[in-house]
Amino acid sequence: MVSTVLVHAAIVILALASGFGFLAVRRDSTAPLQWARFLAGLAGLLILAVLVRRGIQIEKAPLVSRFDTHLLAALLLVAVALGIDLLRSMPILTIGALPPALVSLILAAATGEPPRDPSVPFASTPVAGVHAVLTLLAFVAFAVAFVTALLFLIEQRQLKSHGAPPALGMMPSLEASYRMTLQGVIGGVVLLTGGILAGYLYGRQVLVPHSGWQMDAKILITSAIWVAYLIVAVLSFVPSLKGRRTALASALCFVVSMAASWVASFWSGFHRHM
Amino acid sequence: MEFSIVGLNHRVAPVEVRERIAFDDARLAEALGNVCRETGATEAVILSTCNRVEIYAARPEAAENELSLAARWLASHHGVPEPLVAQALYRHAGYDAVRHLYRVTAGLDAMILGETQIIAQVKRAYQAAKEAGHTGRAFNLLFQRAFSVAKEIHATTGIGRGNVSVPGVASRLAEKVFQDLARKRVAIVGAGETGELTLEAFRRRSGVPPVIVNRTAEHAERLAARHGGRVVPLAGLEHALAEADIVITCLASTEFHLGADLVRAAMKARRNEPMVIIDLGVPRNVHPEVDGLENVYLFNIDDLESIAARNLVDRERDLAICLPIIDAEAQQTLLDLGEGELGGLVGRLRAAMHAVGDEELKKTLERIGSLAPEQREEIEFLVRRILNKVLHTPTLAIKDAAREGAEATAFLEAVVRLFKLR
Repeated sequence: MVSTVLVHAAIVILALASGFGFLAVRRDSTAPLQWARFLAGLAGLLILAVLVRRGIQIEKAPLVSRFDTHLLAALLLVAVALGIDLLRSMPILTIGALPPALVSLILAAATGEPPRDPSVPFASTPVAGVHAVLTLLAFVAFAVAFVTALLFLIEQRQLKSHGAPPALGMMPSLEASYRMTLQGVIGGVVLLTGGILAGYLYGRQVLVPHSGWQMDAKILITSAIWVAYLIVAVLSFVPSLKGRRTALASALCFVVSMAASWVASFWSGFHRHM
Repeated sequence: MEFSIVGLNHRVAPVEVRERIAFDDARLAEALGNVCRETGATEAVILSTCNRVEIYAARPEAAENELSLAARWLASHHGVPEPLVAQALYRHAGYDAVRHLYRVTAGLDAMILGETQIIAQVKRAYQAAKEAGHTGRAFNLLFQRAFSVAKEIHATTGIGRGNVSVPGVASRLAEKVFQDLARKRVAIVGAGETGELTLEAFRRRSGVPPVIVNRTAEHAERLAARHGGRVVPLAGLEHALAEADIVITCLASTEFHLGADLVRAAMKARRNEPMVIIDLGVPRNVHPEVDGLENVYLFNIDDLESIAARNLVDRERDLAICLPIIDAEAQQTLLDLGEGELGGLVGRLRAAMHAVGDEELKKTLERIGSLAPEQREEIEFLVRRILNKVLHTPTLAIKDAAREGAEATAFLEAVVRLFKLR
């Protein structure tokens, strides 16, 4: 009950933060931006409180259900965006990260808090924990790459149309957006490589040999995502693909991989936590 | 104390007049002394910029014929015919003078609305007068307040936001493509005046020497002597493009000098790294097809001018937000100086209340008879303390009313009627 109230409060606050972010872009003003940052931080604290509470209740790292994963993804997205924004003065990154974080939070609320004794003892071993954390961080890196790729595409379109609408004032340079997109993609690939390897080690240790666990839908989809992002990372070094094409590929990759990953979790035998 | 401003600016006088009555920094102290002597001012500041010459003065009583006095003095000081100066001079006094100073300092009276360079110029003028001993309590408060009002206006409104000049807009657009202009190489094709101004704007940000491409080596050499960099003949344009991140073109020509094939080849040589092209040529120097190339950002003079014009419209819209702030601050300043309608009201209110206090105190002391000096002082102090405490809230209320501008008049009337202060 308490978790539900906290999650719903975080949704309202994050929605307000998104509204202030939108207002900041529309008016090219710093006052709504400060509110957006403050509310985003507040929502982040509420999500953290829910996760800590969950951790105490289930007496293990709160990464045992789809509910937890959505919460953690929202928290990491807000934290990473706010962190980069404050360190490198990129307010548009916070504004851009708020809607995906809000969607993740709404999915968590729709899923609902699972029973206290989860049937999936996922983070039961250190290797499983490493697998979960690395995979989740990889998807947060891909999410940051998605946001910065969108920023790149929007700004490039505005510059190509020879206009300078108010949003341009807050946008980082194309060079900065593009560099962050590449860093997000390459960082995500590295993290996902680690996550997949840790998952493979966990599978070999715990899961029954010859049971065909390697053919699990989630594992296949995640491997496909890894390959897709690896291709994007490699192709970004080809001169003729620099810029818009790489940003577009990165953004599309994220949308498709998120949708595929979410759908695949319903067919998965043991990856039902996400 | 009366404040006044006499002067002329870019709106009322052409540059031929302004430049003839501009003040030389080296002779400013002497000029300030003359102003005080000739016009009876006790405090004076002379603001002399390329767009205005204004004499700010404070004197105990209102000056008669200040305009003609100032015209005569300016004409004789600069050795110019008096009618030339007299026909352009304007004068503001009291509240209007304070408001004018605040508008000037905030850049609201500038040729480029909202420009910030004027703040430093007013500061220099004030500092010079202060060092020459021609400022006192009134001008110290007035000018300090002018600087803080200008700061507040620029911090809270969008009056200074967005570039309104072609070179400023061009460099801002390049900053939207490149994170750090300091390491970007600029190439200028042609040696036109606008091109040079734009090159200057980029040179302030870029630490890399530019590449100067021109048909006439002599003009290019002259440009290189002023801005540094390397001169390349027009035949070497393709190679120059390949190494430039920002290209400014300003050739006086009727043909396109930068075609799609040329730029495509340059982009291939630079491994498709982004390139910004600023085409200032009329007719255009860059073929419109170039705009379709990937990672090439082309802006022509129309694009830049339309962005500058839009920014100016935005600034003009913000002017409506700034003016009430200026008005309220001007009223507040006069109030703090004990001047103006509301300031006078506070003075009259306090005088009336203290008169009542003094009268009652006198009666009481007479009735009591002999008292020790300490006892007498204690009673007098008690009366003053009570009066000050009672007057504190109405004084604050009057100061608050001053900030409300138009509302102040009704409030003033109410206070006058309540305390019979006429």
